[in-house]
Amino acid sequence: MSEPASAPAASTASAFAVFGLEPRPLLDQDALKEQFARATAENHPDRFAHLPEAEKVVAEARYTAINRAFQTLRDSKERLLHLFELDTGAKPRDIMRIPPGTMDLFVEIGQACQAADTYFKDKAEAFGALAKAKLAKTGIELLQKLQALANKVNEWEKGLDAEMAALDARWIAGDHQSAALETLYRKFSYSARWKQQLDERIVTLFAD
Amino acid sequence: MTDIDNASSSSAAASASESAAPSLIVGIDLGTTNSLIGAMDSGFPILLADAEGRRLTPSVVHFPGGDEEPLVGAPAKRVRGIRPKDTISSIKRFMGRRGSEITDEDAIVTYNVKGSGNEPVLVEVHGKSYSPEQISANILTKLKKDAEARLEQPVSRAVITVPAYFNDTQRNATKKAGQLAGLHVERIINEPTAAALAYGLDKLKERSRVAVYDLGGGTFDISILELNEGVFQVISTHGNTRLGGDDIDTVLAEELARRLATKMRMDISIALLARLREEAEVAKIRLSEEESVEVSIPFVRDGESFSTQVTRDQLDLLARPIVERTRANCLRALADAKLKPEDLNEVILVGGQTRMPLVRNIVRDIFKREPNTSANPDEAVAVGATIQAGILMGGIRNMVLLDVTPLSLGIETFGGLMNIIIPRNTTIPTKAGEMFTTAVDYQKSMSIHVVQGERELVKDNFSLGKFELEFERAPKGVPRVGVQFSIDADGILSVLARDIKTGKQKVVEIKSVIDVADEEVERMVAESVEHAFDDLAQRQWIETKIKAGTILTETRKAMAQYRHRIVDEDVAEIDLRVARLEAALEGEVLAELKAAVQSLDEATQPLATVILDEALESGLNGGN
Repeated sequence: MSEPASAPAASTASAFAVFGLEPRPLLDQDALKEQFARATAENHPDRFAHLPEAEKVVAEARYTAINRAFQTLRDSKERLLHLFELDTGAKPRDIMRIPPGTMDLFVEIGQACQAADTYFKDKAEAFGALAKAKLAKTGIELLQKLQALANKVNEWEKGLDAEMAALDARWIAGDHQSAALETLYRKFSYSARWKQQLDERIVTLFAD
Repeated sequence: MTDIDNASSSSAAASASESAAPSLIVGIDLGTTNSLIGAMDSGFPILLADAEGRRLTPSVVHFPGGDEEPLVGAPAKRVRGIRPKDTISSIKRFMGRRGSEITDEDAIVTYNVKGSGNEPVLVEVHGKSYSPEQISANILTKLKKDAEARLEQPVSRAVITVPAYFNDTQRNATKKAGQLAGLHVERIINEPTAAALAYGLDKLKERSRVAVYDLGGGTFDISILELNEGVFQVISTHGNTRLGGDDIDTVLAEELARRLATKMRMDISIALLARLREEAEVAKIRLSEEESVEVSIPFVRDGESFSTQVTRDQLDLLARPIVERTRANCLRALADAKLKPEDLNEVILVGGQTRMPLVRNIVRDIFKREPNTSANPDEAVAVGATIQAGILMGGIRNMVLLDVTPLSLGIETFGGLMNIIIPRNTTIPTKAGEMFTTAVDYQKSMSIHVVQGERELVKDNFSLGKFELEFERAPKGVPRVGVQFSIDADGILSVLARDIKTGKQKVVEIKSVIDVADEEVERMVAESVEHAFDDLAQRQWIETKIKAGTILTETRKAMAQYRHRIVDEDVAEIDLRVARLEAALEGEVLAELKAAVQSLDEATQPLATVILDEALESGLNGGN
């Protein structure tokens, strides 16, 4: 690829504006997906592949911006972060604070994941049907434990969705609480990370 | 899709020359086992046959030696069994690979493979070294010539497919192969996505969710797509670039070797193993239709022949662990797409290996539905590549393909951790930026390590390369350089660095270890240690001996505890096989020792079942 003509898009450009939407915490995801599909059909670089190089570069930059905006808006965590940056003109402070009331869950997930990793290592080193069979009990118990934790995280995230709806209602009434926005963003961040860690191990256990 | 006849091929040539501006783009499936080429004709994707009328070109290249031109395709495949060392097949397994990535298992091909550490892998034939890109270019050149003959016009532009799970280096290697064959690669597209295009060609008004399960000769991909009125959007993709029908051929060939070794009491030479592999492949294909086949190898030793009966059940037993490995990928793809099997409308099977009944059973079990076998598993990918060529030529205006990057892209941060910049399954083309500054006063530059993969530690992922980021000397924390990672529609990365203070920007060259200078390659080849088979045999003997020790200990322990829980015949069988393994340990025949280890492992299955049942029972009780 040669040198792209356009400068990197400024991070403060509004992803909401790309789709002609008002900035707010909650969006109708189905409508957004429809809009994105339509925008893709019209703007995908493949539609311009037979044009001269200069026009192709412009088309690719335009579509990349649309794509980025969609990726930002479709994900609760990314959307809230983007909204916070638009609203305050700054990034959230770079701190690692565990959301209140989640310390126990945090520790429990960490321990279960570690136990799973130890089990995978043992399993990989075990040779023969007998050695593998001896590990089966641990595997079954781990799977149950991880699934229970995944359910807990899902329940917790349902609570977050409710918080987001409440925040959204206040937001459109003109009450922009950036501190609450930041807290909720962090909670979604943790939830995404936990789900990913648990899912990865559950899938591995399921497949063995 | 149908073959092209002479009348329509000349009319395609005529129409292309009428509107000379958008010259023709062909679609190519560069497969591990077979390759195909196609072109759009009056709005339809058509696959092109060679002079002998074959659309499927075996991805095999034979070097006769001397100044003779290499043979490509069916003629090369015909001599593979008798000239294994000079005949290259499954070269795709080595595309974009480094020496350190090549396992002993990979190295057991019939030809010489070289390279260690960060060196590119090379193939050596008749004392000359060839890169996997060069071998692939031989195959592409043959396809290009066939297409030119059929279409009666020069072909210089192509869409080439790759496994969805190919990394950046493997994609670049494929592009390079195209260039070497005189093709401008207009687009690299993913194989399962291409197959989805072929499937969806006549369903452009529909909305549906489909999974494409693509098990080919050497690679496996699973992709989940949403079809929405002509927009084909990939939601998630997973795969394994070292899993395919070849592996089933290998285990069946090993089983045949064990039988032959036991029956004729001899070690298996590389040449004999090559013959067994040919027979294994044929037997495997026949067993998709038949319940039992006879495998015969004439003239094994001094006019002695060997023959044995292989049943479908026996093959399934060997193949199951290989095919089962696709399950985790499928579950991950579903989890990433946040979908359950019942949310899908279809599961489409692609790749020759999906003809195997066992594969279909496992797919049925994973996705809880009857898989869709309407597509020709060998041709769907090439048809899709041809459709994509039609989209790029501007002829097809109501379809668009939206793919994702299969692997997360990141950079190394403190403590060797991977910091993800573009997560896996991000729709492409895309870009993302990161701001860098200095940690030390008056630092002039810093080194950025670019990595692809899903593991937390950099060392467990695939290193794409490093680049130096330069700063104007200033107190620490003052310089600011923005680095922008872009992934284009081919899934290929480019990096742009921009000094925030001066506004200067430049395209950064990532030093890939694959792109080393030619003299450097020559030197490395000269110094590289060959994967010598003697050495390998010795290491295998030691490894097998260790395995034998483990399995004997485990068996004795389990027998002491559970002997009374299994039937007497099983006890007797285990005792017998323990004795046999002990005897094999005294001997010197590797194949016998391997066979004895496997045979004891099989015999202990009833014991393992007892232990498993106990675990399940206590698991259920524990769950209540």
